[in-house]
Amino acid sequence: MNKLKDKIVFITIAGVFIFLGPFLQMESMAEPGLFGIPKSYLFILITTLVFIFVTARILIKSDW
Amino acid sequence: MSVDSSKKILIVDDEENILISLEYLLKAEGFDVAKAKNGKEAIDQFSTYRPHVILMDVMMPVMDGVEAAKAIRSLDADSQTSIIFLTAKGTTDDRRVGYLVGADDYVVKPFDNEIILNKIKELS
Amino acid sequence: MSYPVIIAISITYLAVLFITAYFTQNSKRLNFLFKDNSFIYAMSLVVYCTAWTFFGSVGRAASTGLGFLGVYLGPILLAPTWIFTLKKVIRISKYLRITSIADFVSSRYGKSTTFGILVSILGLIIVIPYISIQLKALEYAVSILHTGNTTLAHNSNVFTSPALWFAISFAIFAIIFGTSKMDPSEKHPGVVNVMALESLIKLFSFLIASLVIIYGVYNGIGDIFNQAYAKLEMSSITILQKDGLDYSTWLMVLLLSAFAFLFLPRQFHIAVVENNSVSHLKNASWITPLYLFLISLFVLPVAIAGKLMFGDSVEPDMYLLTLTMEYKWVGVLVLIGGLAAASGMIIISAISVSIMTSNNIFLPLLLKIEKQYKYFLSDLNTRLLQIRRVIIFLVLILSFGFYKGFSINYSIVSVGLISFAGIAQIAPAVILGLYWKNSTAKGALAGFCIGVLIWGYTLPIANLADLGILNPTIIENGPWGISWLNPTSLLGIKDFQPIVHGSMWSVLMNTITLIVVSLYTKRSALEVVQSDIFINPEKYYKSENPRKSIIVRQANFQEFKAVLISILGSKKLNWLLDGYFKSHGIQTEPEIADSELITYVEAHLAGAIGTSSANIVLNHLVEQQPVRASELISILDETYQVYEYSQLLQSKSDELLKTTEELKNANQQLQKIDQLKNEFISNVTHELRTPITSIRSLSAILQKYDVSDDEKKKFLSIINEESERISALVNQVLDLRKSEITNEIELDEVDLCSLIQTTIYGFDEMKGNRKIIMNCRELRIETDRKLLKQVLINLISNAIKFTSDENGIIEIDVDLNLYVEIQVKDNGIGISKEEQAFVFERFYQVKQENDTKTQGSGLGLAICKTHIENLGGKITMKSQLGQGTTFTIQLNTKIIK
Repeated sequence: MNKLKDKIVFITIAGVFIFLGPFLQMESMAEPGLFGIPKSYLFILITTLVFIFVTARILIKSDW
Repeated sequence: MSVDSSKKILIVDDEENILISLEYLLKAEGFDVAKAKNGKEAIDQFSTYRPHVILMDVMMPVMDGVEAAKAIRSLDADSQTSIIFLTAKGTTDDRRVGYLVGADDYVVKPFDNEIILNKIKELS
Repeated sequence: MSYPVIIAISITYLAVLFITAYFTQNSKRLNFLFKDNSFIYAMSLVVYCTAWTFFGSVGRAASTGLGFLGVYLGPILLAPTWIFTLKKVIRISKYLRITSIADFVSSRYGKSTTFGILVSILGLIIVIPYISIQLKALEYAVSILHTGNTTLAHNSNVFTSPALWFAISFAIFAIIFGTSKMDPSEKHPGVVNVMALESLIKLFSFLIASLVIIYGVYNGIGDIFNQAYAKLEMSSITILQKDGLDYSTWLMVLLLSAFAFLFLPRQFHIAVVENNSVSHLKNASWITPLYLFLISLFVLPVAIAGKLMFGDSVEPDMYLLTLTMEYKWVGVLVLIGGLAAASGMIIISAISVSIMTSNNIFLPLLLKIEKQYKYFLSDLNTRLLQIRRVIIFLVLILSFGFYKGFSINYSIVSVGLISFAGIAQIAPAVILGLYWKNSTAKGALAGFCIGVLIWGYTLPIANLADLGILNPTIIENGPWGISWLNPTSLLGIKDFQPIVHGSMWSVLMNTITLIVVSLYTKRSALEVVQSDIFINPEKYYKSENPRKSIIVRQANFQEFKAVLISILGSKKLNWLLDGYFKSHGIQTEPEIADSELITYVEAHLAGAIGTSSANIVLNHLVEQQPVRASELISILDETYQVYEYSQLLQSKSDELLKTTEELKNANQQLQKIDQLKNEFISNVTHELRTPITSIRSLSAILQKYDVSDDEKKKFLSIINEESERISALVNQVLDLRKSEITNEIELDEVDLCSLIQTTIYGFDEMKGNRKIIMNCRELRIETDRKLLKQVLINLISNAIKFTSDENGIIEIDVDLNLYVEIQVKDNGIGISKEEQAFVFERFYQVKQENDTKTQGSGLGLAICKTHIENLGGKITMKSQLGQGTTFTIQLNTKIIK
């Protein structure tokens, strides 16, 4: 059951990413955010980092 | 009620009220009575008092009746003293243990006063 | 920077590579350290990051902003799936000793030589432009370092072109370490370790150079972006646009990159063939994405910095160098980083392509020609290595030629993406091959061919037309004026970027053709056997006797042996045969080689010369019983059913074990309860007998003897006392019973403090010299007075029981937090940790060391628990041996104020 849960988590997160697209089309995302960095860029950076760490945690804790 | 007035009985029980009733009963029948609250006290009393009969409760704190009886038997090599066990249990096993240890008789609680008196008399 | 310096740096770098490869490959100790290392594996995968990453990303970021990210994001997103899909691919490949992606595909589809040839050709076509742009980037970098000039000087003299010398050096490296000996596993540990090292160099150099740009040339990220927002048009860089980088392009790049990461020949080689253990995948699945993240982190700031400084006057690919002109040492670092990026790709590509083409194109073809067959078979190993060396050399020279001829016009990124789209044509065959058993060789071939044709037409050709090398009217009006055949807008579907358009059409038609043709064709016998291995690899690699063959073959043993000696060498063959004979208990050489032996040998042969070549060689030797595909299918289905059934059996028996365990536990529980019940009964009767004894004896005495008045009084009070004792015990038992049957509560308004006080007074006599203290706050609650009082009575009498007469202190505190809290604390002997778990259980009495006779029924706390729970509260206990016990009652009641 755990393996199924993990699979679902992966697919969900990946899905989130693909539907990231609409966000990246928004005009407001072109504006600067923290430290002057464009919001879209920040958004992608943070989401990617979170994705990688969640993946790492699931992989390390599970018994794949 | 003609009894040897020098007969000494040691009663051993952790229940104060039972000691009270037995003491009165035996004294009323002309016996000499000493009391002990547990097995250890019983052994001490045995050495000093040298009773003829010991009425020993089985379930007691510090040292129980069986242990005390064993110890007394080893002290009392020439079996002058009789031991009667008093117990609330009554199964055959306990009686067997009692006899193995060297008890002479066995009385189940709640006891009939007369039964105790008769048994003591029989052991003279 | 003068040429000699540049040459010196390059040579030093190459020397480091050679030394690393040599020592890590040949030193036993080092080899051991590196072989089992998942980090090295994860780093070696990053050969994916080539000069494209190092230079091209910045270039692309400068024009399309986020567009560069997709190339890295794609693999990152798909990384979590590696532990399912890639693992399966690796297991199959290890089992079948697959040597390349072409081998993999060919093996799946009935060891198809045709398919192997086609995939290898595609690989060759793709690799040459790809290598050429690496060389282009290197030459460009050297030129900038040398002249300080930001425009590329066109060098007409081929022999002074740095690219040529780089190409030759890399070829030599690849030949030395990639074709040194025939290893059936096709592993080249020295090369892999060098790849890992280069990955680290790439990252290090890129990060340092970026940091210098950000903090040395500018004043930090904020500075760069602030200036950018002031001077540049930012929305085209930061978000997806309708024309330019749009959503469909974004997605397509993600998808293509994710596939390319696994299917490019060099990637397949390093991820699958060179893999040492599937356990490495677990770490690689997050380490490699992390690397990809880090190496793309500063690309955008650097690109923007370059744009700010140079506008459009300088080739954006080279920003890393042009921005750091004043820091010579950074230039050196970037050169080394660029060398690392380019050389990694070139070396591994050269090696993997050489293996692929030698095993899948040359050997099968040559073996079909009788004369060549004899020639090659006379010393197959050496011949094979020779072929590979020639291929490596040729590929590199061709790439150089391509660079000189065409690459001026191409950008790194466009060539890269076109290559990705090309290799994506393998994806449908591979993915469906892994999960759909009915995909046939005919279907896969048809799909592949159509996909490649469409790809070729819509991408490379359209690109060439766009550049003017081919007639540009093709993309303006369509070929011969037929607009719906326009390679950039087939069937009139426009408004897509060419890469999206081309990829979409080619992969779509590829997949559809594969599926449709597969549905109408049947698998051959060999396909059936092979597809079973690919779909259900567990059946094979797990079992002890994995090579049980289903197709019956046999060959004359001596002939068989003779051919094999020429391929594997007599030493190797004898070792192989000895192993086989020993494990089968065969003492003398048989006359006939049976199916099992042939299959066993074929496996090793495939590792050396590729699946299809091994197949060809053996086909010459072996008689095969014709088998019908349908028979095979039913056999395989049967065996799969058996396998499935045994799995089911296993899981059922596991379940059974678990249930048995649970039953055993439940039984033990019941036995314990039974035992406790018996103890309870004997305790209760014992408790009853004692008072009855006194009552009986004393009453008899009073009847029989003439007792004095004082004694009479005393005896009667004892009788009274003991009667009470009996009564109390009976009540307790009844109470417990009642509280368990009914939950009847009589709610009333209760003054808590006065209730507690009254209860305490009740213990005036029993407490002896102990102190009972109450700390209460004025509180009126709605609860059942009787039940609560009973609980308090039980708790206080317990406290009295377990505290000493002289020093005993019992404290009752009332507090109001979220709930009404009543605490009964004592400083008594406490309860041991082991017993704490049981105190609330019915009949449980705490064992006291010096008191074998238990006081009480063991019901008190059980009654408390039931009462409190019926009142909607909770009772808990904390205790420490020798220090005391605290009972805490939490009541969730209404407070009346």
